[in-house]
Amino acid sequence: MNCQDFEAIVNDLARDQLILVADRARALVHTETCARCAARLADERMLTAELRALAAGSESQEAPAPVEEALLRAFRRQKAASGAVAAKGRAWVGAVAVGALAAAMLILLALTIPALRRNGPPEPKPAEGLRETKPPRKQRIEVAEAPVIDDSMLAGDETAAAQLLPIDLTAGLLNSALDVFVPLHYGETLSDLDGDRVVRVELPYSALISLGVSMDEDAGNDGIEADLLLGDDGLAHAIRLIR
Amino acid sequence: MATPSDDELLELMIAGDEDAFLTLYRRRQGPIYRFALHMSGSASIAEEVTQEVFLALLRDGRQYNPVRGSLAAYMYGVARHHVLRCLEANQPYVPIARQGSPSGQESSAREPAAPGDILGELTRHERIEATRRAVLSLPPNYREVVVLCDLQELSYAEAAAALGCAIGTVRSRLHRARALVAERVTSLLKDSVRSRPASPTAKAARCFV
Repeated sequence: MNCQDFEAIVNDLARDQLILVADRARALVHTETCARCAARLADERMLTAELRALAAGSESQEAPAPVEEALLRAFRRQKAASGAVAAKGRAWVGAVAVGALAAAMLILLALTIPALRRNGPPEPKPAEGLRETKPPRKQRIEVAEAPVIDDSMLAGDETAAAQLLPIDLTAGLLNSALDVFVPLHYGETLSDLDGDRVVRVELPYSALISLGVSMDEDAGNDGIEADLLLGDDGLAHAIRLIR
Repeated sequence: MATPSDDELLELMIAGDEDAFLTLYRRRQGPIYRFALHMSGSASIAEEVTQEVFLALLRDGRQYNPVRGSLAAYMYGVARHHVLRCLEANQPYVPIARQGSPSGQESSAREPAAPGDILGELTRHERIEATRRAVLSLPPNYREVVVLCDLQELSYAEAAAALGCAIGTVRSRLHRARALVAERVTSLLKDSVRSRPASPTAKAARCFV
């Protein structure tokens, strides 16, 4: 080992750091033959001793008790604060969960109700004597013109008001409702019912009276065949009397 | 039951365990305090830095990454940051604080003083004080490696982790720092001898010659 190599490890040697045993041995052998490096090692060892003495002299020095107390207070404050934050977080998460559940239920309802409405209520089984007929998909249904309300009707003109009725009662007969569909509700347009279900039923004459059709006394208790035009909601929107 | 490691104590502390916090504090406050004391020469700065280090641990303890070094190195790194900030803010500050009285452990580090060898003991104290002042007079980048490696006895790797530099940098800085300390100790001791007044005994001796 030469002086340059010795200088590279003299600190570690003086500070008792981990170095290779072979290097340590060669360095110590070098100090036996080199007075300068021996003095250098002695100086470094003295410095190490002085630094260790300085460290040992301050070894008992510690932060005073008030520092620990202050930190303990800070720790407790933080713990309390984090507990409060966690509680708030839990409440927030709970609120979000409830909100999400409510939203999910609303979405479910929004999706389900139209589907149910499309399927419609359970179809009433036609009673005996009723025959259900399905018109062709694009079959045109003849619909009587819906009456229009004008000022003369509002002014009390009975003749004009009578035109509001779906069945021309002024004729006193069933003629207006024969062979064409007549709206059962005032002001309703039937164009959107085009191609919907038609159910053929047999109605007693008394039922026609409830529709506002005056009947002859000699009509008896016999019934009359009629087609009911049913909408998506399953309700009858128009009627057609069969001759 | 095995003594919990620093990392385990930190985990418990973050989870709100007060005992873990106290155990960690009592284990680590001394070295941190002394590091700050040797770096600044001021007990008040050392107190402030110690407090700041543990407050930082309370606040940002989750940022500690064991892969990058030990918790001790992490804490020294935080302490170093605060010390340097304090030193920048207190430029005119002249460290004169007297360190604690020498303990019996000093004797083992040096040649044992013979009983009654008062002159030898005084000389030793004088050299230690000169060493302390020499360390304090070092530029901060040299001072911190001496404090960490020689006074706190950290390994090169731990010091490198605390300082955020390479091990080779720590080694080379330490080599240079120790040379500077040796020079300044010699210089301080020479000044001390020159400024020392002649003792009455010496005067009396001269009178008799």
